[in-house]
Amino acid sequence: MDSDLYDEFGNYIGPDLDSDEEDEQSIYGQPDVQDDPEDAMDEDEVEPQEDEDKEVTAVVLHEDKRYYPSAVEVYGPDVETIVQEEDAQPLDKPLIEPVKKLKFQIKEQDMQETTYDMEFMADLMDTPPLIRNVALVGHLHHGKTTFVDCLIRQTHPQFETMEERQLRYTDTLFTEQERGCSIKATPVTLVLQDVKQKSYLLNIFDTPGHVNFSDEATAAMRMSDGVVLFIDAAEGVMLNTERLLKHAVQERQAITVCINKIDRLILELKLPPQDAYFKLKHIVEEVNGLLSTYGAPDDNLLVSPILGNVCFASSLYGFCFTLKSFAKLYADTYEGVAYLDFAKRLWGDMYFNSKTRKFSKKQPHNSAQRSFVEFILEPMYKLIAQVVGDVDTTLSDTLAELNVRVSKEEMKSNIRPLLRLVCNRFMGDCSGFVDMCVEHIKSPLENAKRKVDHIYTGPKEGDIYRDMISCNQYGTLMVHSSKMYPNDDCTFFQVLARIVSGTLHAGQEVRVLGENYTLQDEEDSRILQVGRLWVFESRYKVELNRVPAGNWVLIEGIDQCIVKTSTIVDINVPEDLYIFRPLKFNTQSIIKIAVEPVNPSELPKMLDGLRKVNKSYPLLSTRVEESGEHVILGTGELYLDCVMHDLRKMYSEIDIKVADPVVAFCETVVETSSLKCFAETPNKKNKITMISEPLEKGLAEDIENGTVCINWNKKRIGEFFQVNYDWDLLAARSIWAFGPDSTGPNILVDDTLPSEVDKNLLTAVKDSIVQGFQWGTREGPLCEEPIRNVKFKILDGVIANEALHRGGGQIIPTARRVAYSAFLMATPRLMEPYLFVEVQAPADCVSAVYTVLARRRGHVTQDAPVSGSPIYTIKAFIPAIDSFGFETDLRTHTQGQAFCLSVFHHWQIVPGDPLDKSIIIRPLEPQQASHLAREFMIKTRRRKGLSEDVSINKFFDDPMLLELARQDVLINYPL
Amino acid sequence: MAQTQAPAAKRMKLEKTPANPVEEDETPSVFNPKYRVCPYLDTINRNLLDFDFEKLCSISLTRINVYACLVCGKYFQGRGTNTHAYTHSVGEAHHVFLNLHTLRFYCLPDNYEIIDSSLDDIKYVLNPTFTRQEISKLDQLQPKHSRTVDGVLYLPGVVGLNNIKANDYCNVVLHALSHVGPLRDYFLQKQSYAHVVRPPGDSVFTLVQRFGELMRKMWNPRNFKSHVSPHEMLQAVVLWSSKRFQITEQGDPIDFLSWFLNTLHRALKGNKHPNSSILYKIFLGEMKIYTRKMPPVELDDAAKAQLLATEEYKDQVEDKNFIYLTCDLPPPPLFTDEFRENIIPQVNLYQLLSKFNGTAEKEYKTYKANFMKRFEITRLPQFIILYIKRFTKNTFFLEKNPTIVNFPIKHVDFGDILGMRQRDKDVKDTKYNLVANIVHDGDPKKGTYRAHILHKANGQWYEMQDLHVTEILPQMITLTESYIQIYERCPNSS
Repeated sequence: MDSDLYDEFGNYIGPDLDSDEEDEQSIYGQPDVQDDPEDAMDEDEVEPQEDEDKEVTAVVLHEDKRYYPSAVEVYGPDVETIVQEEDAQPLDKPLIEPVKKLKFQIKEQDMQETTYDMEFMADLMDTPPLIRNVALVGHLHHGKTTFVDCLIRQTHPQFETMEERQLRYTDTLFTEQERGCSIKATPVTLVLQDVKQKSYLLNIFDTPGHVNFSDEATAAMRMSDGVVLFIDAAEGVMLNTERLLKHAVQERQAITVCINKIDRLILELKLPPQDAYFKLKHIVEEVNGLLSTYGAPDDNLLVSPILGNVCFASSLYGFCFTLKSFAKLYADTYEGVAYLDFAKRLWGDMYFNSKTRKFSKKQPHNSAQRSFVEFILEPMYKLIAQVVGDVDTTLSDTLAELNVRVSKEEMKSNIRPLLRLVCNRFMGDCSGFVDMCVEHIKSPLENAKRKVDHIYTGPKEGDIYRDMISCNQYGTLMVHSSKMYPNDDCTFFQVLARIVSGTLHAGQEVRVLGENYTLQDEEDSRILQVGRLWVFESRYKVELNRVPAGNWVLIEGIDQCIVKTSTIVDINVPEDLYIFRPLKFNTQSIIKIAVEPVNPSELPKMLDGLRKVNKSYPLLSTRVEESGEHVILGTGELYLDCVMHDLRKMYSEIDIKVADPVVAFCETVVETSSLKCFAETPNKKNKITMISEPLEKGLAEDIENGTVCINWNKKRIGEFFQVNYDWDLLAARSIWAFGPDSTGPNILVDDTLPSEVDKNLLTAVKDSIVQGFQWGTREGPLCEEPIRNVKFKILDGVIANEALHRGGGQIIPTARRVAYSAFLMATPRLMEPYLFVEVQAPADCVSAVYTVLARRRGHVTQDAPVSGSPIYTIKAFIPAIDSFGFETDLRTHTQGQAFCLSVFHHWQIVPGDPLDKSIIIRPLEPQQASHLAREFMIKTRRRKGLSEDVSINKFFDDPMLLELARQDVLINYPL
Repeated sequence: MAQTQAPAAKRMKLEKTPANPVEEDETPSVFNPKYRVCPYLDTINRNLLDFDFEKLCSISLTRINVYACLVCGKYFQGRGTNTHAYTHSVGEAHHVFLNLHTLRFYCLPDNYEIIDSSLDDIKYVLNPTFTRQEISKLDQLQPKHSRTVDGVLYLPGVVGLNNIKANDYCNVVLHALSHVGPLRDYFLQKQSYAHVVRPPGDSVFTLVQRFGELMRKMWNPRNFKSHVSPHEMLQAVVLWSSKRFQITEQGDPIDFLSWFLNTLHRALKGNKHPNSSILYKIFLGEMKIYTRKMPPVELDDAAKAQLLATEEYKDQVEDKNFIYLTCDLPPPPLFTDEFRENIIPQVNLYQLLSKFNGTAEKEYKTYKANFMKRFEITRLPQFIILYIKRFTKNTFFLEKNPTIVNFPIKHVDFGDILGMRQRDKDVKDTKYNLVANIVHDGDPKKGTYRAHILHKANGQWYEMQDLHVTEILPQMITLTESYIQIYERCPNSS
């Protein structure tokens, strides 16, 4: 038999398998008895003796001679002799294949040693006022992950080393370690102490700073009560800093700021202390400017070091302080210093007069420095300068004076670890950061009402709501999950959730509500059993048997029916159930790639992998086109590269072919419909008349941002449109719907007159017309891309009296068809996504940046130097479809000196008429600008399996075509 | 529990509605808790319904809340507004949908449930159910031919299996196992394996579920088609054998049978105990193996006698289980006869079975030593699987032995190979009848596999080759090149 695992009688003789393990093929267990005579090899003939005639002192019989030791003697009694057939397997395969184990992330199996007891941490979890849920957000490479390293070193003694290499604890994936930037948002739970040595439980979410992965930051903000915005002191406010700040304001997060990497001002830019102060002040003012722009007028958002919600840090060298914690250093050294009052005088135009020993706002003499410079910056400059330059001469005396103990061996180490050690011991731990979080980010108990009001879709009454706003651990169980993490071999997912109220027990049966759950449509819910519960610590997990309200928890066993987010409730809840709102992102997935397996028989594995990456990435979406293409949509090139790595290596282990990337488009109109379009239902008893026209500038963005909501009452909606967009009151109050969903950028207006139309009958079919309108705007007629920035007006409606004749099956397709015809009569155009590009480059590379952008239809909007550094920042727009390979091109043209990030910014009309049949598209030729729209439309339709051109016949009724012929418009459109 | 919650919500809705009659007229709700008679039932096209393939939404690839459109047969996800099923219903004017998990019918886009007894046949095709009484009559009553949607007659239990590309080696094994009575009866009832306690995340159990579904479809008397596609079953096989058994590559049926029986045994929480699963109950037998080491041939007689006296060269007795018995064919002749044609040799089944009579010795050679083995059967199972080893692999290629085995179809007496000590008490239970025969035709690696199946209810033999099902005379079965045979103990022997 050729079987390796079963003998000739069908018995399993392979390696012992646990009943939970998968069946694996192995060459172990080869039967040691071959029943085929031809397989046996001839035994070696025994060589004759040649020393028979020699004189010997003893006689050894022939049969007693042994020429080689037997296998039992060499290897022991457990050895087994295997006789392998010749050419049984190829030569490049080893005889004994090593056991292959899949591993994709850095994991510790055992519990890590911490400076606190795990029982103490579990006790703190029962005390919501001592819990803080924080997300660390910021721009790429602004030091968020290295900051978490400082916290880990502070709480985990085994990581206190003198190595120069960064720990990067929360970058658990191997791809994250290799790329050097975070890809996944990862939580850690730590017990930390504030300035007064009081312990708090901090749930900290480390998020990636790349703009492509801002969906991870969105998922992290959903779990947290406040954010700490990390800003590089040298770079200042960058692209993603601004975007994440705006997003945090929209998500009702408390905002604190950490100005990180202040060592760069000293070591790299070599700024004088006075200039360093101005640079830090500029950053704070920039943040406050953004807060006043994005915040509501009554929010009164303000950050300031005096308020205590700004801290300064250098995560590379392991120190972090606020004005308060730094003032406490002085209070610990000198008696009589009231550090709270002292801290209030350490920022701004505040000077210390050494003669009168008072602070004043006026400069006492010309050489006097501000108090921040004198008391904070100059000591720091002096300390760092001595460590860097004067280790062998004056550093020992300075450290002795500062009461910092450094041993001789530590003094001899490298500069970077030594600098980290000295700064850490001089300025203490990160108690300033903890103090800032404790004071300015509310606990889950205090923040519960604000959080629940923002994300809960149910009514603001009832027992469920009351339990949630009081964060009641004895109340109704309400859990909200926003992210899923794969287990070690990537076959299942563990769900990260926040307990909003109640207590979750291991082994408990719960009902899991998906994103599509509503009271009317209850099928997106399932009763599942919770497996084990953990506190997630990035590289290890602390197992618990119950988790009360206010905490984060990692849940096993309920990932089957969750796609993105979910709501988890008790099985028996007397009230109506509502879900927590799905995530709302600050970017969109606009890059499309089509994938297929190289081996077609591996399609089920790829489908399984697609489902898994869909769970793993919050903003990723997958779908199948009519032509059978499997399409993945992501936010950018790096995003899709990580997705494809996961799909190929982690989730499927197959080879996958990828098509060239394309982008998602939108369809819009630029004119009002040239004539009234009408459509009749198939039973000829209903008739709807519509026209379409473009929306006012900015209205689509207002709808998408939530500035105006369709759920408001009519009076409020009417006032909004009247005040901001000069609509007349009657039209504003006649708005029926936004499309394609409640935050979609199209409007359906009822423009009929009561004297012409039976309003009651029209209202009876309002739901169906809205359904048809939303369905039509979801897939437009040009190439089935969403419609954008279009207002549809219902001018007339003839509705049947009988309910049987005006059912949804009749009205919905008709409403869609008339929306399409109105759209096609209003000069339709394509819209393409535009990316905002921010490039940092030295001055001599700026012209090269202009050249690369111009070649790709981009244009520059701003070109300014970064204050205090030799770097220029160039801001530009570029079409997404021409941005593929832009980063590589930019590096090539600037010899690697330019660095860019690009993110989706807005939609813009593609030049050209997509319905112009006179344009001939030739393959492999670049199109001129006026032909781009038609080329995009035709190629998109071809890829989706649609017909080559848009057919008017499809959407127009016969009476409509007669009307067209009578208007002499027919010859301009294809039939 | 979910069911008790929904009527409460519906009752609250019903109570709210009469309180506001004007509101009801102004804003009619899409959701209507009442069940209505659907005017679109005549649009259902049963010819296009096929529930044999993986139940995924054809657009979003999800497995949750999948609905089948009963007009075009495609699968879509979701029922609420903005879902793919809803979009399909208003886009294509297909209105009748079936939830593939809850087996309920809905009319979209109006979104109400359809309760109509004329749709029970569709529900039965998706989820065939068998009562214990029906199962007990499968082998007794004279079967009636069933009629498909397009009028073709078929007999339940002998329906064709689709060959997707090269899975005929799986089809013949599935055909054979579907006529092993106790195994079939076990899997025709879903309750048989619903009690198996599975740890969280146990996915190998999918294989059990797929096999049960396939059994119920093959024996479905009310199918819409006269064949079954084993697609879901084969997907589970490809997945859990780590691509060892493929749809696109032909494999060895005996390899597949070994893997499949052992994997099913483990998935049903079986262990080494003979009664721990249905598979070991009916297939597992016991034997003793006597192993004797041979002294090297180059020694003289005195040395041989001395070695034979040592412990190492005495008979070693080992108790062993078996699921099937491997029969070795005599080698084919090397020369042609006087008419210059190769003789197709024939051998009797009893001659092959004499390997296990406890006295015949067979030599096994390894590198260091030679062994002589004797096999003695100590317990015969209810079903005996014989594997006639036709393929041998030498240095260069795979060879096939075309020897024809002569065997009677009924009353094969396995008593001759039973051990002497067991013969007296089991003398009445050693006669067996053939129930399945798997045949290989053609060359190695290029040939095809067929199955001969006995339909016990009408005593008729059928030849099954993928989708082709024909009747065959019993005498023709013995003329084929048998590869795997399954025998069942005679129930009422003298």
